Amino acid sequence: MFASLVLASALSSSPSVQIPFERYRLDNGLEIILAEDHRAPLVAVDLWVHVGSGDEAPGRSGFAHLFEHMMFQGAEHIGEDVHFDVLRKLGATSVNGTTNSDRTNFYEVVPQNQLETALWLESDRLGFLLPVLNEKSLQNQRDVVRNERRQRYDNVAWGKERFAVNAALYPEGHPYRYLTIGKHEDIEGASVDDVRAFWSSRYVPSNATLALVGDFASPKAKALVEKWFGSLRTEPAPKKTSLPTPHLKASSRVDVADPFAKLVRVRFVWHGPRNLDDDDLDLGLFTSALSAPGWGRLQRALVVERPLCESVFAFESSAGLSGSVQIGATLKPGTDLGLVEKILDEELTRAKESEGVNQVEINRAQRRTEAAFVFELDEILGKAERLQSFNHDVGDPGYSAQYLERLRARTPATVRAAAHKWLDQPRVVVVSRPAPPMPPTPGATGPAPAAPPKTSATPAPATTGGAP
Amino acid sequence: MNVVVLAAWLVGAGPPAVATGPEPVRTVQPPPAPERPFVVPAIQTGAVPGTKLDVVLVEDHSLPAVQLRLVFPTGSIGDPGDKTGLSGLCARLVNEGTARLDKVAFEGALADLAASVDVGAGVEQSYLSLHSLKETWLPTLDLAVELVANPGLREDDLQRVRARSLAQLQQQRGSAAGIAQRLQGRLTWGSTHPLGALVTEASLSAIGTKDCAAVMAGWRPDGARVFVAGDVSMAEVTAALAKRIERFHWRGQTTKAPSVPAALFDPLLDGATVTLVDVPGAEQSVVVVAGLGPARQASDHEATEVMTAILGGSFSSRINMNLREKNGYTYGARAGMSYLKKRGSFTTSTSVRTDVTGKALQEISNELQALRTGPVSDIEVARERDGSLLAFPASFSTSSATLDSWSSLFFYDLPKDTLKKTPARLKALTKADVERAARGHVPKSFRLLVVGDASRIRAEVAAHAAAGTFGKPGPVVVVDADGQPRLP
Repeated sequence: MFASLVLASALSSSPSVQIPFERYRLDNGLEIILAEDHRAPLVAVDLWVHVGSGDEAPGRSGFAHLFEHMMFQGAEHIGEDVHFDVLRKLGATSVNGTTNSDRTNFYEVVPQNQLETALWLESDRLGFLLPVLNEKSLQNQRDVVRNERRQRYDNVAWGKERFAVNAALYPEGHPYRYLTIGKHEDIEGASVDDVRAFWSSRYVPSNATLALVGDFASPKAKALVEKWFGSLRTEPAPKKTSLPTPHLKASSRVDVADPFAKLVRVRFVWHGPRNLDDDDLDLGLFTSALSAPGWGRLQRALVVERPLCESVFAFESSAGLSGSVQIGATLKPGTDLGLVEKILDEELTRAKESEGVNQVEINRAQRRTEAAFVFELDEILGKAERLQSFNHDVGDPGYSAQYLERLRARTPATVRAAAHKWLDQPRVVVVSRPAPPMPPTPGATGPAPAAPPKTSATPAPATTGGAP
Repeated sequence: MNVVVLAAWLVGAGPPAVATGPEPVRTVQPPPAPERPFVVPAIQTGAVPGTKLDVVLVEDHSLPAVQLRLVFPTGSIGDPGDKTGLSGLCARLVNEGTARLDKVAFEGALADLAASVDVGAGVEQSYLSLHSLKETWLPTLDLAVELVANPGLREDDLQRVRARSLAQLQQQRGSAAGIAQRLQGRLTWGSTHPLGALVTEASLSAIGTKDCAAVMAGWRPDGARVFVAGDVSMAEVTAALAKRIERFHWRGQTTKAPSVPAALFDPLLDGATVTLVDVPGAEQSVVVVAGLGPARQASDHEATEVMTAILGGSFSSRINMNLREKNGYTYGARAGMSYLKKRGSFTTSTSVRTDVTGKALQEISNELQALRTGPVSDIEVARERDGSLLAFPASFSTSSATLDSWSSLFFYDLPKDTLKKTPARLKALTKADVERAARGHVPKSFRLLVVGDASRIRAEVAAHAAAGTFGKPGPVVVVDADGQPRLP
């Protein structure tokens, strides 16, 4: 009674992922995306500023994110540190902001009758941040951001590894080198003048996009947007940073001593394509076929059929300037690292060859992406983020259907070709090992230089590893 | 050098723009537009023919998707004392596949359907959940029901999931946050209470496939409840379930979890107010302040929630504004009630920079005392009361959110008009109600767990223990990640 199940597996039709929307610009260059959705009496307000840690200057790592924090510290007319307070009182939910290498977003979901207050708050910080900017609140947020770094990276297992990966991929001077969170000493060194300069040059209306999704009437929303944002300054948008894609000249190994890790983890890392290149789609499918639960090639080889590892992973992560492809495993205690590296290499080689990643695996990965697109439309904030991200990446908020079409057009041949193209290149092998406690970071309240991870160049991809 | 870099950057960016000066119209918060009357979205209830399996449905055709959760009133509170972690490990084992389909085949079949199916165990209930597109929901339901009706329960699968659990246990002991999570149950409920029991190598190793077969024999349709949201009708749901229960010959009564006993502190093991776990080299100290709280069914529930929201329920709360925005000790601090079926607990937690651990503990204690004995302001009450009231429609923003709101009524055995009455109850709250809840529900004494670098924080933590900052004065007791006493 189940025989037909697997055969009848292709989705007969592709569910619609079209989000009706309208896009226009104010005279000052601020871009607006509107999408009505009347299922609930709510509006998602989602402001993207097209600047991220990828736009940081050398010596200023972590600054875009620190700046994002300063955007919550108040503005001229609304007052100091009241953003969350005002929104809480009127029943807003999902109030936050985030920074990545490409963009910074600020969002809240408000009751439909409070849209104007959300626009009042957002327009004040975009237009009038500087008059209330002061050293005291900056010092406070430097501390808060450094606490964030401690909580997410410095005081947990495998935080050091994340820095080691980017340090191996990106040379000194490349804005991806120190991750979006940045170095302690750079965060500590950020000044009020830096904030002022960043706001003046980067947070201009012409470098931002405001998306509203939810229960509003578009003509009324347009009038409110014009009322609050229309008078903001008109400045040219800054030029986007453009850097040559970095290349690894030779493969290398990096050993990371991690006092909070109790298990060994190994990770192979390559440079990858930029966001939404064809190769990006291919490598996303390729890594899905390696990492999917149960049937994924690395899962079978290292977790299910030979239970050597606690977990495995494979993913492709792409951003505006470049990306990376990473595969690896967290070993069970007592498992031989050399054996795991050997199996990782064998599986990788097999997956790239002609008996490798096949149509069934690719269909599964494609369908999973399609289903995820449908599921995320359930939330108005999810819709807003979808419109914003395609608008940011390809200049078309309604790119979903075309994206899925492109994804469906990928074939085993294109996937394997992309895998060869990127994964036959030099790579970095990063091994995190449990280590005894480190002495406390000097100057917990002052500049804190981190010890660089040990790096050694090796002539060829390493297929065997030493014992711990 | 910094100056040079900055200068170059400014030159490249063009002249800094000048703000055009204040705009008076912006100094006043805009008034809200008219509110639209809000009605709590209704649910449909039904039953699967020929069973005592109840169905709760939120029908919603806006997306071609279905979410279903089959909830069994059984969970880890029923784990035997020598097999702590039984329910959790068995749920992992069940996820490894059915008698017919092993892990690789089962996950492959799900992937062909672009669906997900998951089995999990909580303290007082366990669940089978599925999420799929409408088009594939029936074959997905086949797989889901097969998973709990005819689980694989293979010996080699158990070996594998147990080995992974053992590795994760080892890792949990490695970081401050992992250790705090591990010890929180015993901090709150006592080390001889079932919720204070720790999963260990010994308890995991004592569990066999027969134990899991017994656990799964207690997951039966009668006495369970199905919660469904999405693009299906009640007739479709009940017919689909009836057919599958028949097909899998899946019958019988669900084992009900025992009720959670009152906190059970052991004078010898739990005598100390302050416990410290040493993580040498920790950059931050994880702080957990635990106490007991009222049950969800308490008549002053809304007042209690507003009270704890003022303390630690949001960014604007006292504890976050103090520890983060005023002092810069942390990335964030939270406090609030958690509710089991019939019992509640009160937890305040944060992660603070190692060198300010003592100062942060003092601030937390001050805030708890101030809330218990001092006034709350009209502004605070208005913010949290009105905020909850106005955010109420957001709890029904999607069909799955609506279902979650409704399912909590079933879990807590609350009257079916509870959601309908919530706005009026919130609206009626006064400052005096909130202060009364603070007097009644903020404990006079707490139990404190600090996980951090003892070489740098022990003296400060010991000073608070001796001074009785959080409860009965006494020594700080140093334990390891398993709660075992360490000699000083």
